[in-house]
Amino acid sequence: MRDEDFKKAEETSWRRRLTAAEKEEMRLFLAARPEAAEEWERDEALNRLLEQMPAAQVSSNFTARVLAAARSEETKAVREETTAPWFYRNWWARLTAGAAMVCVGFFSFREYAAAHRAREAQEVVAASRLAALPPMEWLNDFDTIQRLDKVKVADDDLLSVLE
Amino acid sequence: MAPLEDPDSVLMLRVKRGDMGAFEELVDKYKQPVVNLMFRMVHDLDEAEDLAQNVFVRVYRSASRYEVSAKFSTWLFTIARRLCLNEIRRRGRHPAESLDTSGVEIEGERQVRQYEDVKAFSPPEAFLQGELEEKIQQALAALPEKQRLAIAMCRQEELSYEEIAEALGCSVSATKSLIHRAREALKEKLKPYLQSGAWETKRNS
Repeated sequence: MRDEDFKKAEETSWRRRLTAAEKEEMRLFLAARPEAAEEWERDEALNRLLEQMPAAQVSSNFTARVLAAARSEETKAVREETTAPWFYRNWWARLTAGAAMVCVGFFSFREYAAAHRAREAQEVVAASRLAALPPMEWLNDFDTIQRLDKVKVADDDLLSVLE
Repeated sequence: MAPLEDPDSVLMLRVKRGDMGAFEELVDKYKQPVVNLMFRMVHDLDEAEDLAQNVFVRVYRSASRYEVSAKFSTWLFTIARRLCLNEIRRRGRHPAESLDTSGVEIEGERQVRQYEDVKAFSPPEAFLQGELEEKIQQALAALPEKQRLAIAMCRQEELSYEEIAEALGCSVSATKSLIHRAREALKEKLKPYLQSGAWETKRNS
């Protein structure tokens, strides 16, 4: 038995008991490789331990309960199929409904965008009236007027110029 | 065995055509290994049976879409693995809640366990001393969930390593690695019992 055969036998033993022929091959391999014997013994001990774990005791009515649950699922599905509105049952109806909703959404958005642009245009017009430029004559004394806030005491000369 | 030669796949194709008798045959054949698997994972027989029931109901629900791409058992245990891991993770998030799917809903009314269990349940400690089995269960419960699943599936003789790998959703070498690591962990935790063999002496006496 080669190393890879030993590994294969080991993996086989994880799933089931070795046959008599397999056990004999293993015995010969371990006789030639005593260093592997201890590990093999521990492996086998674990296999025997796990083998002894009892199977779960399944209820005698398990199959009946599963069948009842399956029939109940079937009844529910048939009920949903017959009571669902016709358009849930036909793919073309669903496709048409979906396309209609997309169109409605698209045109609604276009209307909204147009209304929004019109509103914005009106606001610009209103703002442009408010922001009309002052007459040119007012700008002649602009520098003078700007300096007024820097004056701490009454400037009689300046006042007389402005009169 | 090629999937189309698998007799269980043939049965499942009959279920697809509405054959309830075929479904019953499949449930009868696989209820023990599926419940065993769930029991190893959740350590509660009632919950294991509820989970197993959900597995079979899921199989029935999927019958109309069933295609033979693998052995039936591989497909079945893939569903079992998913449901099992979902439940374990759900318990991890909500430890106080317990699974209660044992009700059978008929015509909108909920009837719990309509069919009576005529055979009394005998505890699984029948074969082993309670302490030993408790230790083994604790050691299994301490394993990461994927290792625990791998080693539980490994004990199912219906499944080859390739089928276990497919059910687990990983490669064959990764599957064998999971099993090897799980076994090493179990050997470490159960060392006193492996060395002494005392449980064998007591069992045989």
